[in-house]
This record gives sequence, structure tokens and C-alpha cells, in this order.
Amino acid sequence: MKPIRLFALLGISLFYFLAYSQEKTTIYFAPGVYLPTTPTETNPNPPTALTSLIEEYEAAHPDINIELVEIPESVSSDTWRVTVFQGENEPHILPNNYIRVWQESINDWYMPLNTYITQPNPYIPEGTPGHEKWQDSIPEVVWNTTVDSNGNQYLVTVDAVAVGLFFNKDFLEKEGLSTDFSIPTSLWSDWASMIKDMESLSSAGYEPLALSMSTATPFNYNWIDGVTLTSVYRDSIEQMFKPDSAWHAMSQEEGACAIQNQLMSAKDPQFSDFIDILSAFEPYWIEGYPSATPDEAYRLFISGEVPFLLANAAVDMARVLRDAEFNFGVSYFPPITGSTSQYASNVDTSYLVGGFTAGYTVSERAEREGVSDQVVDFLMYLTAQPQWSKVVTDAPRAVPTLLGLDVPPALEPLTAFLDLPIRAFKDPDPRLTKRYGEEHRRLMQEFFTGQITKEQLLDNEDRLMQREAAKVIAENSWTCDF
Amino acid sequence: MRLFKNLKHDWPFQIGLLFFGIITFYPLILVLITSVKTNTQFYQQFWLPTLPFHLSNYVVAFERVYRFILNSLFYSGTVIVGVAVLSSICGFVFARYQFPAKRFLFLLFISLIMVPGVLTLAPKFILIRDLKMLNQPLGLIIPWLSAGLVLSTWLMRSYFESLSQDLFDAAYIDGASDPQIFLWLAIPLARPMLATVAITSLIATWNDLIWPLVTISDRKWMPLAQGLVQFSSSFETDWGPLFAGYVIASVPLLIIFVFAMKQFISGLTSGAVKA
Amino acid sequence: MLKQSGHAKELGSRPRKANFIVQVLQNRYIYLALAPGLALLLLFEWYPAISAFYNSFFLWNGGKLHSFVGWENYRYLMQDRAFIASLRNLTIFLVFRIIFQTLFPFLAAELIVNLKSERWTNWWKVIFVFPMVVPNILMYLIWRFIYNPQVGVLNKTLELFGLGDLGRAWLSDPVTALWALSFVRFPWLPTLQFLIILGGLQAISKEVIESAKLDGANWFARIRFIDLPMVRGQLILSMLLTAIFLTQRFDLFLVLTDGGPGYSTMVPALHLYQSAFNFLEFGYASAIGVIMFIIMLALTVLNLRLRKGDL
Repeated sequence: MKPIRLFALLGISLFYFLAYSQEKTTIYFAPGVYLPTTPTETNPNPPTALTSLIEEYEAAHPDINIELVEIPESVSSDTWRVTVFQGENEPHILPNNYIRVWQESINDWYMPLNTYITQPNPYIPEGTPGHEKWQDSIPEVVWNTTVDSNGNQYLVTVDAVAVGLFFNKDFLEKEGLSTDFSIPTSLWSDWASMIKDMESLSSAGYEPLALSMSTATPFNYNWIDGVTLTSVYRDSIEQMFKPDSAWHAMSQEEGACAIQNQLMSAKDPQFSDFIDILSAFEPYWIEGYPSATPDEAYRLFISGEVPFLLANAAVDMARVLRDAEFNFGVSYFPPITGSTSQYASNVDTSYLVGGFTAGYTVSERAEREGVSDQVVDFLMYLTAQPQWSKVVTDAPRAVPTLLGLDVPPALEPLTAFLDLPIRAFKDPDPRLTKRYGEEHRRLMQEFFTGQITKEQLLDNEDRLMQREAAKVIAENSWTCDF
Repeated sequence: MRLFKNLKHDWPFQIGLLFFGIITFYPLILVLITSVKTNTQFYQQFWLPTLPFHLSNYVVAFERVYRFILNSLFYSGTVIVGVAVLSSICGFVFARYQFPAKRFLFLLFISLIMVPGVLTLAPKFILIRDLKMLNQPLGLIIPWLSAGLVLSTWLMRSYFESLSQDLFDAAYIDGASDPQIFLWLAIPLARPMLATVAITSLIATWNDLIWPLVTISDRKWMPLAQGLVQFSSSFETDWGPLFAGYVIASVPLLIIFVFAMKQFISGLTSGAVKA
Repeated sequence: MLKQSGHAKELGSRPRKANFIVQVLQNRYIYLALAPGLALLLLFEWYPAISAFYNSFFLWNGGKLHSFVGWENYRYLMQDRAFIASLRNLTIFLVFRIIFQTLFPFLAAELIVNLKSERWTNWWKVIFVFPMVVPNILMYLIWRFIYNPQVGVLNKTLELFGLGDLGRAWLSDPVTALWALSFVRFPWLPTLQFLIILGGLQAISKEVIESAKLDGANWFARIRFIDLPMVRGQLILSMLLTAIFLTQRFDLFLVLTDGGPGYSTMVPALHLYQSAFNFLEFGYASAIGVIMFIIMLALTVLNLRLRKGDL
């Protein structure tokens, strides 16, 4: 090769090297429910605040480029998680639920934020909580909830989530049912009176409650499952907790060990009551719920065909406000009391689904790429009160937990729900394993659709619980001696 | 009026075909109808057109899907070229030459038809991950190429075997070399079968959902089938633009269809293809 | 050089060992030509297939956790209700679809070849090949609407005929879900299979048909005694292709029912997919794949045996 060509080659490589090394740092950010969308005929004015905040940040930090990542919601969101983490392509910032994070932290997927949250957040103005110490911008109770059993904080939890039963006021009044709340959180004072109303609607020829229990999008069912199970085990749950802990959402370890230590089993009379309560409720769900998508359930409510809709109340509020051509309200599940199950006779409240489950995690990718500081800086910027208040006012899709922020007026009715105690049994999947969640739901579907008897259900459930508990305990080498 | 010339003889057959035709086409018309509706119109009336038509759905949809379409065109195009080149070479060699271990090598190709694709789904995923091809275009193209090679090699071989030996003998006598015979005699003769191989590869890659689902996580690399499924319900499903997206997504195939249809049909209907 | 190998055919005798190496060397360009294709298949098809066999004996989350468990995965497979149900469902689905995905294309092709008008023959070909441009996913979405219990066209049609009581949530009822899936894309005219069969029918020479007509054979007799035997090869190929495609593709099941309600529409491929990509149980997923492979192999061998005996 002639020297001149060699030099040219070297020069070109040097140029590319320099050009490459000066390339901007890209932060992949998945905003979850706040993801900006393009306007359509149906939704002509989507929120824009997040987009402009990001533009401002990029203008102030020319070396940073923020890429928004959309998480697929429909088929296969679990597959997507596996694929991004296995492919080392996970977003740097991911919306997350603490229980799920505890379950997944064994894979080293997330970066502990312990040292960062004690530092000052420069984007929080003086005099506002969090200016000296970032963690002060979020109530202590939230941090106590989300901390992993290894002491790590993986999440910055900026929002609280509440689910609810939307109801069609006009419809219920026409059918002669009351639309006034009997207790602060619910139309009904107890579960039995809810079932009574559902029965009267059903005998009048309606399908009372719209929800989805498709195994691809089983959220609605998961909520009912956890609330019911918590209620019937009310009296023995505290024995399942680790010593000296207040009422909380049970971790995977506590759940698995409860089964191992025979504090809980599918052969319990409580579990049998749990099945009975669900199977007495199931006849009032829309036809086709095992394959219905949440969107199909929503359509039935909004068209006025079905008076009740179970949904993530915060996320769907804006949508219902926009689409409903009738008066509506949002109720919560009534408490399951002694009149429904003898094991719930000490229950005087319903249990909250959701709560402080809308946080952001920083993925291990940030450390791997050596950009932790930049990623955390952006997260500090975004979750500082001045910025976050713009996001939630523009798109009220969750109740902000940051100190010094007002709840958007549309979500005001949901704040009462958030004062309820959390359900101790979460969704079936984080209770034990993903396989447990999936097989449990399928067993319930088989039972509901009459393919198996209650005895077969309990037998299978028992085997399933034992196996998955043993598996997860072995994998994590838990001792279960608390 | 030549279309109606033979109706007297044909009418029972025409009626039967009409029956098939209507059931086959009604869903497609439905897609067109839905693609110009808003959600409200859609929820009120599924099956019939409603006024006004919202053509702006197509603008929204185009912005959403054009990237997916470009990706898919690139992936499918590369795979088609690769499959056509490799399968015609291998098919030609297996059809027209004798050489040691031919049976064994051919078996290596053909027995893969019996290996269910799902058997290799998980290990293939791990292989691609370890080759650092996850979330890369190569991670789609290469596995699609190798999977497509199996059936197309077999199709090409069947076709080359069905060609008359005399043609080739004549070419040898004229002094043509093997590569020359392959390029200037065999390939032009095999054009219909090449079109078949190309179109089957196109359909297979264009419609594949599962493999992209497990390998591609970044929106900017997603092929069409995956893009349309995964983003059908971000926050809420907007049916009009979704269906408009599907209509737009069909256009590239439609164009290809118009151009290659004759060759494709004659390749498959040549009668050489059978078990 | 390559022509010499052509002569090997005429010699017809088995080369001796020493000759083998010489022959391989003589044919080196042939091997070179095959090499790229072969390399792809070895790395991206054979290696994963063999690795599936190997890993089916391991507990494996796709990452660090990789421990030998012997036959444990297989033992569990035998008690796995999902797997047992999935085999049953796949059998029903396959038998039904193989029969109809061959029968209907055959009928359509019969109708077409009997047309006198050449113009229409070509038009109908194009019409039946056209739906191939529509993405599969779109067809699945449309069929979701057809089966929708509240607004679906199926229930509405039944009501129209006063049969409203027969209406139901087709995809959510364990009795009907699998059948509902089997009917998706009715009248099942898959392009490839349709054209292959049509090609076979068109290749039947006009003289045979004319002489049959002279003998007074009606249409059905002609189908029975001429067409069916003549296109036997194409029909078998079409069935084989259908079986292969349907066993491997489970996007239909994934998008419409996700295997539910319960396990009533679970198929092995979907079960494998979920085990690997939702539960991170790659060893177990491999075991499912291996069993599927063995079943398919057994069926193929059986099929070959039967056909040999019958010829």
C-alpha cells in the first residue's frame, strides 16, 4: 500500500473516531402512561408537556439526547421485557412497580439509587422539599414501601395508582339503583350489597360489569383476586409478614415462605371461601370476558350497554371524560365482610389496589455504559416538582405523590381510595412466580367456564403453589425462618 | 362482451366461484370501511360505512407505519435476494450433478423440513443473543434466510430436474462451461420458479410475527407485522388509523403482486411441484 | 471438470475408498458452490436444533442459571396439563384444517379448470391469489370482530335468522373456542396450496378428459377416476405444507385467545413460546420442542411407510 493511501486511511479513521467520540449521549426513556401521542380524529389534543420539557432539557444539555421508548402494551409485554434485558437494549429509565422490581432485582437488572437520593436535587427550587436532599421530595412512607429487602432503593416513585369501578349514573338511576356513596369509597357498604345490585341488573337482562380476564391482559382480574384473597386471610396475614413489620404488600419471599411454613395452602377453608366469593361474582361479568381485551370492555361501558367498568381509574379518567355521553362516577370495591365469608368477620375496610406502584427505575445499562450520572440528572430534572407538576396537570393519569404538588381536579375523587390499606396479596404473578400467575389464572378460567370442578381446581392449585414456592425458595436460597 | 361468451356452459361453475370470492373478499372491504371511521363511528356501527369519511386517518397512520414498511421492505428484499441466489445454486447442483456424499448433503437440507421451527425458537434466540445480533437487522435477516432456504432449495431442485436433459447436452456440445450454463441457460428457464421462491419468501417474512417479537425491541428496527401488533393499543386503540395502517401496509405487496403475479402463478401451476 | 462428475452417473458403480478422496477433490467446485447455503443451515438451523436436545436436560433461565436435571423436564412434561391439552387441541385443529385447506382449494381449482372462458380462468386465479397481500394479523383482527359476543357479525347473523339463542362468546366458551379458531379464514384458500393443486389439474391432458367424456363419465366420475389420482402428488404436498405451517405458526392462537379460556386453545408451540419468553424456562421449552420433533418425525415415517405399502 502506498504511504499516501495509508495516511488517508488513518486520517479517515481518525475523523470517524473523533466524530464518534463526540457523539451525544443518548438516554432511552420509557415514560409509560405519559408517553406523548400524535393527534388523531378520536383524540385531537393529546398532552404535549412532556415533549416540551424534554426539548428544554436537551437545549440546556447539548451533549444529551433523550429518546422516548414506547412499551408494547398489547400482546407480549412480558416477552418485550425479556427481550430488552437479554439483548441489553433496555431503556435507561423504565416505569416500574416496586413488587415487580423486587422480583426482578435478583437478575441485577436495576441500579440502586441509594447514594443519589441523599444528594441535593438542583432542579428543585430552594424552600421546596428535596432541594437539599432529593429523597425529601417524596413522603417517607413511600420510601418505606418501595425499599427492597436488601435495603436498596431502586425506584423513584412519583405517582400513586388507583383502580376503580366506573359507573353509569343515568343507567343505574333508570334501573332504580342508588348512585350515592354508602361509605366514603364505595356505592355499597359491603360486598353482599354490591352482589345484590349486580343480581338485580342481571335479572333485568343486562350484563352488569365490563372487565377483561384475557390471559394476555389479565390486570382487571388480578385486582379482584388480590383484594378477595387479602380479605379472607385477614386474620392470618400478619403471621406471614416478617417480624416487626407493619401492614404491607407481601413480598415474594413472605408469600413463598407462608406456603412453605404451611401458613397458607389451597386446602385452607379460607382459600375455599376465596374461590366461592369469586365464583359468585363471576356471573355478573360481561359475556366473553376470558378473551375480551380491555378496549372491548371499555367500548361496552362507553356505549352505555354495560353500567360498570373496572379500570385503572387514573389512566382512564381522561378518556371517560372525553367519550362518555352520560353522567358517571367512580366507586371502589366495597369491603368483603362477615356477611360474605366468616373468615372476613374482622374486616372493616376494603383493600387498595395500586398505591405507590408508579415509579421509575434506572436500569443497570446506565452503569454498563458509564452514563449513570447523566441518566440520574435527567431523572432529577423530570421528577422535580416544577417539571412534574406540568406533566401531571397536562396529562392527569396518576395521582402525584411528590410533596408540594396538587392533585389534578379530575382525579380528586380517587384520593379517598388511596387512604385505604394496601392489599397484602398482590397480583398472582409477583406473589410467587410468573408461571404461578399464568397457571393460576388459567385454572380459574377453567373453573369459571365449567371445565373443572372446585375439587380439581383446589387440587391443582395446591400442587401449583407448593411447586412454585419450593422453586423460588431454592432459587433465592431463602431460609424462611422468620 | 367476451367475458360473457361462455356463460351458458360456465354458469354453475361461476356461481360456485362467486360464493368463494365473496367470502374471501368481504373482510377486505370491511377493512376499507373501518379505515375511515373515528372510534365513535366504529363503536356504533361495525359492519357498514358511516359518514363522514375521515381520510385524515391515513395521514396519521402513514406517520406511524412508514418506518415499519421501509424496514420490512429492506428485510424482505435482502432475504429474497439471498434465498433466490443460494437456493438456485444449491437446487441446480443437487438436480444436475453426481458427486460423493450428495445424498447425505441433500438430506442435511431436506430433513430440516421435518424440524419444527418452534423446536429451534428458544435456542436460536440464545444463539442470536450470543452473536450480539439481538435488536439488529441481521438478527432477523440471517435466520429468515436460513429458514427460507430449506423449502426453496427443494422447489428449485424439483424444477431443475423437470427440465429436459437435451437442452443441457446441447449446451455442453456448444462448449459452454458449467457456470455459463447455470447463468445463461438454467436461470432464465427457471424464472417462474424463482418468482415463486421470491414470493413465498416475501409472504413468509412479511407476515412473521413471532421471531421479530422475541428479537427486536427497538421501535426503529421493527418490521411491519410486529409494529402493527405491538402498537395497536398504546394507551388506547384508535381503530380507524389502525386499519388505515393495515391498508397502507398492503400497498407494497399489492404493487409487487401486480408485477410478479403472472410468473408466480405459472411457477406454481407448472405441475412440477408435487410430493 | 464438472462434466466428469456427470459421467459418474453413467458408471453407476460405487467408488472405492481411495477413489472417494480423489472424487471429492475433483468435485471441489461443487462443494464450494454448496458451501454458503450449507454453512447457514448448519449454524442457524442444525446447531440450534441440536442445542435444543442438549438443553432439554437442563434447568436454564437463558443466563447464568444452567444446571443439569436429567429427565426432570420430560417427567414434568408428562404431568403438565397445558402440554397434554395442547397436544389434543393441535390434533383436532390439524386434522380439521388439513382436510379443509386441501378440499376447498381443490374444489375451487376444479371449478376453475372446468370454465370454458379463458379470460375468467385467469381472472379467478388472480382473485383467489390476491388476498395474499393482506397481512395475516389483519385477518385475525377481523375474525376477532366476527366472533365478538356483543357486536360480532356471527351472533348478529344468527339473530337475523331467529337463532339468537345459539349466539355465544365464541372465543371464550371452551366448547367453541377451538372450533372458532379452526374456522378463521374460512373458506381457507391458501395461495400456495391452491396454486399447486390448480397446476396439477391444469396439467391433465385434454385428451384424457375428452375420452372420458366420450365414455359418458359425468363430472363427479371424472373427479373420482381421473382428477384425484392424477393430482395425488399435489394433494399430498399441499397437505404436508399445511401441516408444517400450522404446527409451527401460533400467531393465530397468540392474537385471538392466547390459549384460553383455561387451556382449551393451547397448542404446543404457544406453550413453548410462553415457557421460554414469559417464564424464562428455556430448558423446559427445549423439552417441549424435542417432543414435538419426535412426534412429527414419527408421523412422517409412518406416512412414508404407508405410502410405500400402498404403491
